[in-house]
This record gives sequence, C-alpha cells and structure tokens, in this order.
Amino acid sequence: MAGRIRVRMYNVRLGDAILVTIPSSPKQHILIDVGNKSAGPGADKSVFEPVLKNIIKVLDGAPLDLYISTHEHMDHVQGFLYASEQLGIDAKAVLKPKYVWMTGSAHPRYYDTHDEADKKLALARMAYNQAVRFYAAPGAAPPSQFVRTLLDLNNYIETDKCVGYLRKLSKKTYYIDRTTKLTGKHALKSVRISIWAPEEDTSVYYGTFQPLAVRAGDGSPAAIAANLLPPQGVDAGAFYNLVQLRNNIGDTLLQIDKAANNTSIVFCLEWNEEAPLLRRR
Amino acid sequence: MALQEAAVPMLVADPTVCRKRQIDCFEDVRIREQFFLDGPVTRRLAVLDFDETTGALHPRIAYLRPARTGGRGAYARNPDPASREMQALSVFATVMKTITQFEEPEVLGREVRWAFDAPQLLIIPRAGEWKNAFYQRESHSLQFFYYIGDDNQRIYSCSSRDIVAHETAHALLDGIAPDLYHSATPQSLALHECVADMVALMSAFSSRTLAQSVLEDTNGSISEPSAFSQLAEEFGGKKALRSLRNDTKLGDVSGTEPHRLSEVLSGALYAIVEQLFEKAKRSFTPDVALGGMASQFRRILVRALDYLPPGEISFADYGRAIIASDQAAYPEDTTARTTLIAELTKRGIVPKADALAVRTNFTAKELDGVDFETLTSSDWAAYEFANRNRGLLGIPKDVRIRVLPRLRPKRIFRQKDKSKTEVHECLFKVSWDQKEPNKLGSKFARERQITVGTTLAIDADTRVVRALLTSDHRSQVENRDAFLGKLADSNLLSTEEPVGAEVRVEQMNDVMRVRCTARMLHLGSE
Repeated sequence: MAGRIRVRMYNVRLGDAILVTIPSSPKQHILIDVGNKSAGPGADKSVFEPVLKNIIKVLDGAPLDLYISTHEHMDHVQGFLYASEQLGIDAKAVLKPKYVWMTGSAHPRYYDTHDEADKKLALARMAYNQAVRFYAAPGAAPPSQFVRTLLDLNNYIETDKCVGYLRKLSKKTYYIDRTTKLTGKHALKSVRISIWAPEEDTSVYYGTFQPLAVRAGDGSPAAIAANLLPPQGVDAGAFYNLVQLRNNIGDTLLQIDKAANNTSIVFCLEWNEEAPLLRRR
Repeated sequence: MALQEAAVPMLVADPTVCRKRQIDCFEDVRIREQFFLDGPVTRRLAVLDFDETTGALHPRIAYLRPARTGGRGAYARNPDPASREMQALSVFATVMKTITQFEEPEVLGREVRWAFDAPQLLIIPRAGEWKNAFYQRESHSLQFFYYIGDDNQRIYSCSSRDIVAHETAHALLDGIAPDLYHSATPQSLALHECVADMVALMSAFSSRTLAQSVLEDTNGSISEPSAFSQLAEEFGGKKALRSLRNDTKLGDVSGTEPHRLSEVLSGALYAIVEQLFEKAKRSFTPDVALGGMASQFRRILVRALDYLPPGEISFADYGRAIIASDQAAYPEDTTARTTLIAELTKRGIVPKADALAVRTNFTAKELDGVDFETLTSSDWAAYEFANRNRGLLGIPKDVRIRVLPRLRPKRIFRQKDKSKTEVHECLFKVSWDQKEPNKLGSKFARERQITVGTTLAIDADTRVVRALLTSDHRSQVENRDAFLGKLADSNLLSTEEPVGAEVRVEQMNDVMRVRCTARMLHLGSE
C-alpha cells in the first residue's frame, strides 16, 4: 500500500478547516472550508494565520488540487477573505486552487431559477432581519450568547461577501449537488468521489422552518404583539404569551441555521479500496 | 349556569381514509358548554385561526344562536369541506368530544383541570409549515402544522382526527398527571404517548360511519391492519406512525426513545381491546359490540389515570392503577385484568404476575374520624393527615411533602344487571422528592432529584379504601441512567441556555433535575 491518506483537522475554534492529503505521486490535496465564527468568545480570527501558514507549508508551492466550500455559513467561509484583507495572504495566488466546488445554492443565479427555494430564503432572511431589528431597537435587551452566535453565523450580508470571494478562487469553479456529474470537475488520481447531498432543490431543507409566526407593522416581534388583539372571550394573557412564543427568536434562528447547514456538500471519498467517509455539515 | 348545546361538524377520519373507504367526510357532534362565542370560543377552548404565512388572524366563525331558548346553536359552515373554516370547526369538535369522553360520569366523573393556570386551551389549526403537531404547556396550546406531500398537496395535521385526538389526550393527561411533563423516566414519557395513541383509537371507535365501514371490510374483525390500528395514515405517509397491534416486548426495544417504547404498552392494551371485543361479539352484532366495548375500554384506560401516583411512573405502575381501578369497581369481571396481567408479564414489563397484585376495597383505621369535606377543602387538614399517616402513605421519614389538590369525582359504575351505582370518591395525592446517583459525567451534578408519590383513593361514603398506590421508582433507575445519558450524548440536556433546547436541566448543590422532557413527544418531529 502506497502510504496512508492524511487528514489534518485544524483548530479554528467555532468553524472548520480540513486538509486531506492523498499519497499519490505526486501527492494531491483537498482543502475543505476555512472559517470560524466572526465574533464573540472563541472566535479569534488570529487563528487563521498559523493554519494558513501550515497549509502553505504542506503544499510546498504545489497548487491545491481541489477546494471545497461546503455551505454558506460564516464559520465555514470567512477565513480566506479575512486572510486577504487582514493578513495579506491572497489564497488564490498562494494556494492556486485548480478546482473549486461550492454548494449548488451558492451559484450566483441559483435563486433566479429556483422559485420555491427563493421564497423560502426570502422568508428566512425576513425573519433574520426581524430578529436583528428587535435587538437594535432603542432600549432592547442585549441578545444572549446563544442568540448572538446564531446571529453571527447566519449574517447573510457578511456571508455573501465571503462567498463572492470564494467564487473567484479558480476559473474552474463548480456548484455541486447530489445530481452533479463530476467528470471533468477534478483531476484527483486514484480516488473515487460520490456526492450524497445536497439536493438540487434546497427548498426541501426549509420544511421544518417555523418562521416568526406573526409579522405585521414594522415587523418587530414587539410591534407584532402590540398589533394583534385577542378575540372576544379569549384569555388575553394567554393570547399574548402564545404570540410571543410563536415569535421565539432563538428557535427561529435555529431553524434558519439548520436550513443552511442542510445545504452542505456531503461526499464520500474512496481511496485505495478504503472509504474514509468525509461528511460535512 | 345551564349548559348550552351546539352542533358542530367533525371529520370522520383523515381525508385519505375517507376517500379510500368512500365514506362521508363529516359527521355532526353535539357539544355542551356554558357559552359559545364566535371563534369558536368557549369557556375552556378558543380556536385561533392564524394565517400560516402572514400571522394575521382570520375572521372568527360566527356562532348562530338558537332561535329559541334551550334550542341548539350552530356555527356558520363553509360549503367547501376542505376550507379553513371547516378545518377549524372539525378541530374544535374533535378536541371537545375528546374532553367529554374523558370527563363523562362513567369515566373520570369530574372536570379535568389544565396543567397550566388558565381556563382555556388555545387551538391553532394551521400553525405553519412543519411536519408536526404538538401540545405545548407553556403556551396553553395545541398547534397543528401542515407539510407539502409528494403530489405537491398540503397535508394538514388538523384534518386528521387521530392526530387531533392524540394531541388533546396529551393536554388532558398533562392536567391529570402533571409530573409526567418533567419526567426523567422513559416509561413515564412513553405512557404519555401510549395513552394518546389509545385515545386516538377510541376516537376512531366513536365514529359510527368509520366503524361500520371498517367492520364491513374486515368481516367484523379488528385484528388486522386497518384504520383502527394504524394512526395518522395521511400525515405519516404510506406507513402510519405507529402500529398499535404488535407483539413487541420490552427487551425488543433497545433504545429508550419514548415513541418506540410506547408500542410495548400499546400492544398490551390493544390485546385487551381485542379480548373485550371478542367477548362482546358473543352477545351482539359487531357494530353494537364495538360500541359497547369502546365504552368499557375507555373507562379502563382513563379511570386508571386518576389512580396513578404522582411523580415518575413505570408501565408497571400504570398496570397496577388499571387493575386497582377495575378491581375496585368490578371485582367479579376479571376479563380485562386477566388479559392485562398476561400481556404485561409476556412482554417483560413485570417479571411475574405477583408484581401487579394490588389491594382494593379494604378498611384502614387511619381513616377513622376523617372528615372528607375538610380534608378536601383545607390544605392544612390535608398536610396534617399526610404527616400523621406517613406509614400508610409510604412517605419516608424526614422528607418534605407536597399534598396535591384533592379530587372528588362522582363516578357511575354500570353493573351486570344494568343497574348503576354512583360512587363519591376522594382522591388524595401526596408527592415528595428522592435523590439518586447521577452518572452523566463531570458536566452534571453527582445526584439527581426525582419526584415520587402515593395516591389514596377512598369511597367517601363508605370510607373503604378503593386503592393505595405508591410509585415504584427504584425499578427505573437504570432506565433513567440510559435515557439521560443518551440525551446528554446528543447535547439535548442544556445546562445554560433554555432557548432552543428541548429539555432543560436545573442544577444546585450538586443535585440535578430535568424539566420539560415531554416536549420531546412532538409527533413526527424530525
């Protein structure tokens, strides 16, 4: 057996960066994500510098054979843009990725051609914006650590900037889903890759999405509750309590978070008759 | 206040079953309440028809008052049977009918109080898109969601009578045995699920339209897969959610997932259903036998819930409660008890029949001189009684106790000669906390606290003790270890943020207790 496959899982705090080295001749490398959460405890961006330096050292000047961006979450996409802007490390120039795979829904025109997914995404972003406005309102209590983490992870404006940077890493950038034929989309030798997810139509991942249930007025949960009146004969306290619970921001953000996680590329890499399963979520 | 009556349309079964069986979708039920308002809204229920996408409230359904005093009212009907108005009315009717089936004199003989401190259960027929339906104590609500089926059609959980009855049963059981909501014992949660499933079964039995259709197809049998033994056929897709008729033994259920665990007890209870039905068929035609058997089974199933001790419950505890309530009422008719004992033994719920032995209809000197009216109305008197009789009630020395509000059901028992006996019971329930080792690792406290208790059921007229049942919490320690360990491994035990976490953990002085475990019982949740 010609060597062993090597998987380096870097500690980037809340997020991931994984380098898979295939012991072919010459060695080939797959890099999966480089990101961590953008703010808050445990989200030290300085973690990227030693990670990237190590990746560069491992590649030793050779081009990166395949870069995979699993899904559009800050803790998975943020690293390269930060390195470019803050550390002066241009991933495109230094790593020279031959091929880039991104999740299907990261295609810049994906939502132009997928109406149902577009509607679901719009709903999710509306709910996200409601949550942001709720905490930005004068006199609002600060979000808990849990909510702040979810707000950071799902910050779609910041995420879009990072994803835009990743799209330009290579001229051979492909958007992958379970139906994608991989022929010509990589040059890896002696390995077989099969894609298990995501589905081509990502609207299925919003099936459990429980949006902020009541939206009216300016869209903030507080305003919504004030705008709805309990019908005659209905216990008013219970009614308002129900409306507030249906607008549970933490649960709503979890639903948004889950939908984005489920768009991840899930693949099986088989090498030398072994199948170390790499499953990213 | 005199009760008013209204006729409300109720879906016979979920639309798939109705189409398959070519039966009418709706049948009318008569509901009696103190008042009816547009909504529908009554003293105990309020339907809130939120729009599933905008969140706005749809107009209430108008209540049409009867033309004359004492007449029967109705709600305005939409001619389209699939309309949101007809869905709302059907949910309302199904919830109300399920409540009535619990409370009638031959069953509990009392009104069930909700587990929350408010009069109304709120019902949301179209809560949003999600393959789910649930009872939520915190919001006093039943919430029914829809999902998009394979053929791009919306499948509404509120259109499934099984599901509505099932979720209503969770709400009712939460009112009867509120400690189960926070239980750490998997069998306690599975009991919630089993009772809800069996109530859904009773709901199917109570539809004459559906019953006749099924019995015609099965040649008078209820022992093959049919609308009676498979719940939520439409919402569950091709395979119904849970099959009640099964041979599952406790040892077959490797995990501690409450839904799966509940099948063991459901299977045992379904065996009683079959046994009673076969017996009734010897004297009556199948449809008449089914109706009579359904009433008898409902009494067996629900009455026992009042006899449950407070706190953590095992299947064996519920078995003893069924046997005690049935034995106290019908000492000579042993059919149901014999079947239940055989089933619980066969399925490994108890090692042998002796474990289910209970004492009923005996006298206790501790009750001499007790004034039941004072015991019922005075918390001081109730605590005094419990403290003085720790031995009788199985309360350990030096533990602090909680005495629950005393219940005074008036129950009717129908005898073989068709005569009826009314029994005025006094149900006295006391609970306390026990500590046991907690083996969840360094993140969690070294001990955990569980609630246990005793129920004393007394015939207030004769002073005879009808039952005295204390929870058998020691037999479930290992099951709690496994269950909580699994939750901890799956990061489902939150010690920090309650937001987004299903199960909450409270810790103090190296002691832990879990809260809200019953939230895990959401039907069909992903």
